[in-house]
Amino acid sequence: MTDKQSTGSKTDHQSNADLIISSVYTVGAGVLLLSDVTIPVIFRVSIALPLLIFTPGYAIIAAFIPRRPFSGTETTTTRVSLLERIILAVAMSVAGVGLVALLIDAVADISLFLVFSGVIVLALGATVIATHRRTGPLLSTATAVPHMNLSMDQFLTHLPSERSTIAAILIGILLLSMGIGVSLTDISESERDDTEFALVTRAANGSYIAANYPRSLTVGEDQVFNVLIEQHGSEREQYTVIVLLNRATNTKSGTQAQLGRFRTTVRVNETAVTQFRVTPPSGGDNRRLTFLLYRGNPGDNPDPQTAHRQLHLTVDIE
Amino acid sequence: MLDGITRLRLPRHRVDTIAATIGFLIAALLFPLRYLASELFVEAIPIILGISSILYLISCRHGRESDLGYLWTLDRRSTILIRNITFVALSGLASIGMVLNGRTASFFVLAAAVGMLIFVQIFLTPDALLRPKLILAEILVFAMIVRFVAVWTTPGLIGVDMWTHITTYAEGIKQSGSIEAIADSKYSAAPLYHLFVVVASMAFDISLRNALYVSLGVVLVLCVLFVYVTARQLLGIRWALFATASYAVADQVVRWGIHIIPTSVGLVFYLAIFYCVTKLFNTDRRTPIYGLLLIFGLAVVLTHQISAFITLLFLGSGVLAQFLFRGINTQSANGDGPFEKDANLLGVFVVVAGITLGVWSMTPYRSSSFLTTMIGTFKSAVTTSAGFLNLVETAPPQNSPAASVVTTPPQIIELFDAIGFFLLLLLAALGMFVFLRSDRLGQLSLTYIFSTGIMLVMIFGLPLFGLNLFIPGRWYAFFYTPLVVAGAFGIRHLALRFGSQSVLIGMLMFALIFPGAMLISHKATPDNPVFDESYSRFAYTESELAAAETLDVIIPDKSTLRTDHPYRTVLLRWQGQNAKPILITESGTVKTGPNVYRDYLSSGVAKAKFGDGFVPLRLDENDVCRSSDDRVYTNGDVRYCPSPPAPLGVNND
Repeated sequence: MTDKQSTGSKTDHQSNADLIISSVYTVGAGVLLLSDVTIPVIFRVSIALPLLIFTPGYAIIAAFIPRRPFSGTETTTTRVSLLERIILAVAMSVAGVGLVALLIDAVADISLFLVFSGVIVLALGATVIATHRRTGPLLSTATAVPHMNLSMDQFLTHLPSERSTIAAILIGILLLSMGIGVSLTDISESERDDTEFALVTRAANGSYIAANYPRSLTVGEDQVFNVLIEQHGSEREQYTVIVLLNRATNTKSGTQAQLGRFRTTVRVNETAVTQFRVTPPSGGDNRRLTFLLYRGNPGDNPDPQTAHRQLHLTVDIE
Repeated sequence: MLDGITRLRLPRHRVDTIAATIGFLIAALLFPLRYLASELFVEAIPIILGISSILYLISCRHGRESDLGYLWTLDRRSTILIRNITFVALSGLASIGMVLNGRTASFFVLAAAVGMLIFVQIFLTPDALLRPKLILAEILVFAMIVRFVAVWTTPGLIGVDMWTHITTYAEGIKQSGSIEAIADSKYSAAPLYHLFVVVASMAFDISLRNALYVSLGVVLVLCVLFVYVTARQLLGIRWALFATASYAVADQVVRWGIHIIPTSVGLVFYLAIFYCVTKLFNTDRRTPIYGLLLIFGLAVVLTHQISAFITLLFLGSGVLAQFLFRGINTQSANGDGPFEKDANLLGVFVVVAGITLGVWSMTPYRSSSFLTTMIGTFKSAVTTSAGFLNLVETAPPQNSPAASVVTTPPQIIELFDAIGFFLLLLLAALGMFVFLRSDRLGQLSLTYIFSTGIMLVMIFGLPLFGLNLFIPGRWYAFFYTPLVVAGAFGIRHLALRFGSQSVLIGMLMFALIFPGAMLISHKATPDNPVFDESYSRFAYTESELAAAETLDVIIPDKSTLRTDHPYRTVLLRWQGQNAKPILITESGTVKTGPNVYRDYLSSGVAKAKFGDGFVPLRLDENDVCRSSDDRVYTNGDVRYCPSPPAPLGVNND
């Protein structure tokens, strides 16, 4: 073996480390994600993300642009740097995963198994091509693409040497942690109003709809109204609904007669529909039924302005 | 200054100075347009062109570029101090965003400061201390924080089209396992975005929304590196970093990193193609690059139609430049200028164009193919609505009652909103003149110039004639790509030519104004506009989203309801409601509903329909839900107010 060939062989062994790592990761991550192993979401995302946006593309780019040039001299300004490879790999991965899914769609339903299988095949195929194209003697060591540096010593030398910068980074991490901690406390949650309040009727199919309200009532006769309450708070809530009858649609004029009230308790993220019977004591056209929702018990004669929610419906009473 | 220009003796065959002179004349010719149309860009662009032309002509008097390199730098201690402050400030920025639960005014003040620090490092770090990896890391982290604070603190989706792409198309594909679910849509022939998001959702085992942001959100941050590796082919580290930082904070680029739709992914592939074309002129091994160009070209065609069209225009610009300068190998005075080689782009252009036309001829669109429909639409637009200064006017007449409810941004706000873009345009125009210097003139420089010029015409020129069918608003992020590279050349030219304190002050002013101005632009803040009394918010509160879900349940199918734009799009695209825009009558009142009112209407800016167009306005609850209307749903923020049927005392108008 000549020196040049021995140099080439030694470099060949090192030069394929990046492809080996990306292939092993692609296959390993794919198999793990397709297995029945329960993986917490945060780890699942961390494992799958490089598989979707980096490793397949890296192999494909390496297949297109292996380290070895075809022509003789190649100056340092014309080589493809590691940074170029990385960002090309990201774009190529997005394209590759999408194209694999598209091809699979042409023959079968899209499933994670088929897509990952296709991505793995694509990545391995590209790796084989890249490895094959990388074999052969180096024409010049100056044409080599920078290794993926696996040495911790060499990695550390690329860190900023100024201690103050390292300290600044640590302070930054501390600040960020404090910010995450404060935001997770979720101070503002208790101040939100999460109650939805609606008047509904029962449709023919049994569902509740905001339409087809009873508009013609009779003095002294009961009429059923359905009141829907949905709450999104943090604990079960007790509500009181009070129904008023106003003289006219303008609530500022005329008297208000309280037709009744009911109380109900609604659990978190629950929807409760309560039937309430209204018996109008007096007649008239263009009357307004007002439904007031209070949290808890508002007392005997609560101020309508203090209601948590308010709805109204126009009716004629004979 | 005027004396300086009149004394200028132009060297023979100086294409750049001739172009600058022509640029000044064009600016002078376009200047009177401001008296015919009150559009800000119509008024500003001639001024910018004029200033850049004058600056360039003056700079030509100051001798050759200095061989001494960059002149003004900080000392070592100050450089390290600024770097450290930047790191701490980045963490503080992320923390503020999380604690305040959104991108508030405080967030943007700090973001502007961080942006300024990054640009100051780029401008003033000594060469020996200039560490591109550190600064790139700062840029990427900064870009990540600016985008992800928005998406993680905003419930639901941001923007309009995302609701369709995610909740309808991607969801349909995920449920059915096939793109047959979107067979009637034009995206059935451009499904790469949707397929990728579906695969990501399945791989991560999370919702489509979260999978989208975690995967493509990260990709859209990383893609700014394409600007660096492209600019680095042509420029030194400092100016390549300048181009990258400018691109990362650019308003329209931030926009597509938050409102992630097929346009965003098309932008990624366009950046890859932009890099590859530049790389062709800086490598001896072109075959692999051609291969990459074909793959990325195929990818963009299968992702987004407008992106594919823009890519074709870019490649076509390269072909045009190739034919103009075929066989010419322009040498610089030193014999090794970066633009001297030519490259054959015709083959790539023909193949990508062929694929594009083939795919578009099979893409379903409005009961025909996409290609046929667009050709017909273009012909119709040219023959019916085109006309000089035929700008789309939707607002009611100034003295009409309806005008009282319309709110338009004051011009000073519009200026603040656009000042970042104007600064970039100024530097880019300078850079274009630099491209025309004899030592830089070649196919690549002309490719940049032609593509920029074409996009300028598509964005600003065609709308002057009433032709908006190419949706010019989608082009900006693509347009910014050659702009930031040219801008880097422009600012470098100024820095090396003038070598005075005034340029230093100008650069510091740029660092102070540009990042903040870009980040607070309404295009970069759809989630929470800084000028919220002038621009709409395209994000929704949890209450508004909860109301949309409940209204979908309780409102009978096919019932029409009316609400403001953009809230209407959520009801329409997400919940499939028959939601139409609120109608404003000639008398300035809201037409009877059933209407859906949300509190945002009284404090922010939304749109309603007036005549054939939409107008921005603010409405009180009593305007939308009148006292005579019923109120049958409320959650505190949103009310549903149908009118009682006649003759129950309702005035139906």
